[in-house]
Amino acid sequence: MSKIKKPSSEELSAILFLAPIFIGFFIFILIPILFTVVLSFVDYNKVGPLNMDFVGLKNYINVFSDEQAMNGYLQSLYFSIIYVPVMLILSLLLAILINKSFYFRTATRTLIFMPYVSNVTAVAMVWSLIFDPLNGPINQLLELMGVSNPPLWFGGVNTSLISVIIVNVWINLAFQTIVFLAALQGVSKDLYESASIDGAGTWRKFISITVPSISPITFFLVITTLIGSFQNYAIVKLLTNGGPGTSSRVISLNIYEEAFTFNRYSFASAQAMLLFLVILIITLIQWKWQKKWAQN
Amino acid sequence: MGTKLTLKSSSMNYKKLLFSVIMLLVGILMIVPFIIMISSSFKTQAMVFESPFTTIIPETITWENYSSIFKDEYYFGWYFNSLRVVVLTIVLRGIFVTMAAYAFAKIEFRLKNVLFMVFISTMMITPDTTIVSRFLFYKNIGLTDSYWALVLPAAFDVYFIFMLRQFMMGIPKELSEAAVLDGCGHFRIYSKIIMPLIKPPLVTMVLFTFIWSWNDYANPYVFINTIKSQTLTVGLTTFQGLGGANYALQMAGATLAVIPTVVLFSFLQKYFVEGIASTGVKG
Amino acid sequence: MKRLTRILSLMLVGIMMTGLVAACGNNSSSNSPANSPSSSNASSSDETKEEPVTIKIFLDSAKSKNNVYLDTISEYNALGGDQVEMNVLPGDGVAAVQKMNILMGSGDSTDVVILDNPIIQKKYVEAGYLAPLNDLANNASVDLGKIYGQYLPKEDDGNSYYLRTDIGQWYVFYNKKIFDDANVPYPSGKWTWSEYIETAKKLTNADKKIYGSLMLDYDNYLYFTARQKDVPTYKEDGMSNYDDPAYKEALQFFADLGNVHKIQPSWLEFKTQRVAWDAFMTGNYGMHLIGSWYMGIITDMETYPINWKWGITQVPVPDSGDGDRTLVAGAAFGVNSKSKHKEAAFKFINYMSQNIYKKNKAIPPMENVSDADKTALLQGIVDSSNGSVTVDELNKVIFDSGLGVADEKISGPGSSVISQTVLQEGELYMVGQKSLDDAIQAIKKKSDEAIQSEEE
Repeated sequence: MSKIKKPSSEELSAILFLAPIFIGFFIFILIPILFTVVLSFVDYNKVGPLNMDFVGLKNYINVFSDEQAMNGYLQSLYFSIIYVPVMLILSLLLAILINKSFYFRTATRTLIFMPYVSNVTAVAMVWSLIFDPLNGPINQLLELMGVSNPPLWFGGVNTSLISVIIVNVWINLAFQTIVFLAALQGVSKDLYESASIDGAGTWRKFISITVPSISPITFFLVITTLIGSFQNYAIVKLLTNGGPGTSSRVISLNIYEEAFTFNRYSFASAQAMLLFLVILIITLIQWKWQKKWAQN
Repeated sequence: MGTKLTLKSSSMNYKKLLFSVIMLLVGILMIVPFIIMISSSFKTQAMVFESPFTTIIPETITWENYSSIFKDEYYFGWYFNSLRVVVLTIVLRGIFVTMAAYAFAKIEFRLKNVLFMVFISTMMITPDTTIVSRFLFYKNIGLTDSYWALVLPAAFDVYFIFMLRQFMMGIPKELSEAAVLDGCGHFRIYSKIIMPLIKPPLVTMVLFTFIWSWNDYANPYVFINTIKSQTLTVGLTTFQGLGGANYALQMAGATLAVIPTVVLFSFLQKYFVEGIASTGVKG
Repeated sequence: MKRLTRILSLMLVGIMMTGLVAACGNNSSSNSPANSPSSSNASSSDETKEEPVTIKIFLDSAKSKNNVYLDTISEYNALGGDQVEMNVLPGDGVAAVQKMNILMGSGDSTDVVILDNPIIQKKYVEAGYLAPLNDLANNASVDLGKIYGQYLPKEDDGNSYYLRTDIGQWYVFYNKKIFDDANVPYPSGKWTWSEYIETAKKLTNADKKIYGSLMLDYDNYLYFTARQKDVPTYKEDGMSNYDDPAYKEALQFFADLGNVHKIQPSWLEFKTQRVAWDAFMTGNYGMHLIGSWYMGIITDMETYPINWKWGITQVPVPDSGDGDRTLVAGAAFGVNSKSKHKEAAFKFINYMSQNIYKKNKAIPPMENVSDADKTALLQGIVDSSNGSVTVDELNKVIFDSGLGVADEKISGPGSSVISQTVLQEGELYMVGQKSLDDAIQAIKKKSDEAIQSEEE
């Protein structure tokens, strides 16, 4: 720590560039978060006027003894562990393919990105028709192929979460793919050309040119996809509503239900804060890991 | 630009054709659910649940869903509300977010990394979880039941600050440093050099801001109180029969609602295709 | 060059906007302290008695398009006194209630509050969201006791907080065409669940995709027969009574209808195929156990132009003979305690309670309904039944079934959690992922926890 200096002209311009975002950030992001923290320490757990009786850690302690909440964290972790790698691998693959030259490229791209623009309510309806375990096309196909016990998809305890993940990947694939695509197009063509002259193969070029060039964006996508994977309330609510039983009741659904169905606002806020802690820890680990990786 | 170079060997051409066909098939597979949505919008409520696949093109096409939408007293008001929110969000976000991203990527100042960490750490608090406190707070500052309750919070978006910063950091230092030596201030570097170079991610931001705002359900549902000032997505859920959703009608509403995003998407496509290569960053 | 100027002008706009937004922020924060005291004072300000006022009513989106409510409101407005406007809650039942919770929690002053089921009725009374009606009634010289009698809901403090608009009762509606095709006589009078199952088996025809029976996915189907026997929902110490054998039997009974007897879609089928709540109107089901609100659906020829005749009969009773009851509940309206026009709001809910049943084709929530009114009500149903039923048939089922009554739902401490738990655990049992005993035990345990946490 050195003594406080007057702001340099660099810093003055930084202040100018950041002033609007700071004001907005303070009002629309920071205050609601701090208010959530406050809510998690008071006893506002039923409908009625805001109750600000301080109860310390009681809401947090209750979360740990609440089977349903703990199950929610577990389901969310399962969700992320499967969703994030599948999503990133598929979208990178798709971006590489799309980046090649082929006929009707524009039309094909539009088709591939189309799911992203569709309305969640309509999507949920359509997918339950597709995954219908009794008369649905997928299971009829499986039966034709000789599978005697086709999965129950949304109706099975062991398959409901996976089915939701499949739909979620389908919807969101476009975003990650487009960001990867933008990154791939930023890679200098000259690098590839000179590598070709040196006689490097496709795989070699991918590892030594593509991967390092897109690594800042990959890092961005790993972190944001992971964080986004915890924000899955709407789709889970519409596809399975957490069922059967609680087999797909992820924590975001649980928080929403606690707050708006059972009106336990403080209890829900405590669950939200704990979710934040979970995500924070995972992200910090990633950050450390990325720094090490970048240095090598 | 788009013209093909001289044809190489014919085997090369067949390979490309085969690859094209495969990609097209992938594309068609991706939109099967989408097709079902559109086909359902031309069916009656009862037909939606009967064999959605064997009747992709329904035997009798029903226009009833669309005509009841055109007769609906609110639908086009919602359409306008949504458009207004989306356009304002894009403009404000485009200004505030690029400025902040530039500061974090290209200006040196004390506490930069700490501040940046604070910013992006708030991304980890997903919006679903602060909805209660946001509602109580907005209510207190008199922001509810106004489209500003949807626009202003969205204008200060941390996600895209993070994304654009990553892209700006990828722009070679030589470019901006040369400008500094030329005596350019940060404002001119930002507007003259950086902004043109980040056109692809900027277009990405515009497009996704459009899609996200357009399809947002939770915020308008909670913050907008009167049905007249609702947005399209929430408005659609009021297409109900007596006590339950009218799926065929909702599918028709969803199909119409998707038009602006599809149009915008097709229009902005070429910016991804041409990409940075055409703006000359490689040099 | 062109691009440059465009970006520059965008920047200028940006800087101006920055100033604007900053100003906006200042304005709203300096306004709010001035605003809040005035809004909190407002509730104490006196109602002006004579001047007609405009009051607002919460309705979910389905009801806001339902002629029953639209007509009632426009007829009331046509009387020339106070005017009523709708405040529509978006979404289906659950989402609408959530939205109303959010609004009420933030002190919304919409005058009339819709209370669709016993759980929300209880919750809103306890939260102090509803204004007590007794004084309002006295001021308006309305004798609530005389009009509503045994149907007037009273709380422990002797006050009433809401008025019912109808008395919901459970019936069996049936599709006469399916009975005729299968050569089965129409059911009538008292009958048992065994008879119901036998009848449904005869009607079920897998080749034609016809089921003899249809039930929906509400929680109270999962404990229907236990409620018919009026087995208490709470023990004397206040804990859940779900370990009573009657609840176990009821759950098993309901599960067997789909899984063993195969007379109706199994739970798995119902959920994964998203059987619609109004599926009976497709004509593919022989019988439908449902509440009296369905009368409004089955007579709605505009929305459901059915080409088959229907009939109605009373609910079957348990074979053991100790459950000769149908189940009852009722939708209701109350006056928001934050309303600025409580008197006007009371007048309107009183009006609704005495008029909606006529349009709804429901049982009036009132004590002394004249025989003429009853006949008029039944005749109204007959007129819109396309020749399906007669006044006598209806009278026998609706007013003269000889069945007792019991509450339809579990309502009391922790009831919203209990309702959810019954559905979650019941579902695990019904799709074969948990044993019956484990499911019942889990319901009992979670219900007790919910009750305890609420009493703390």
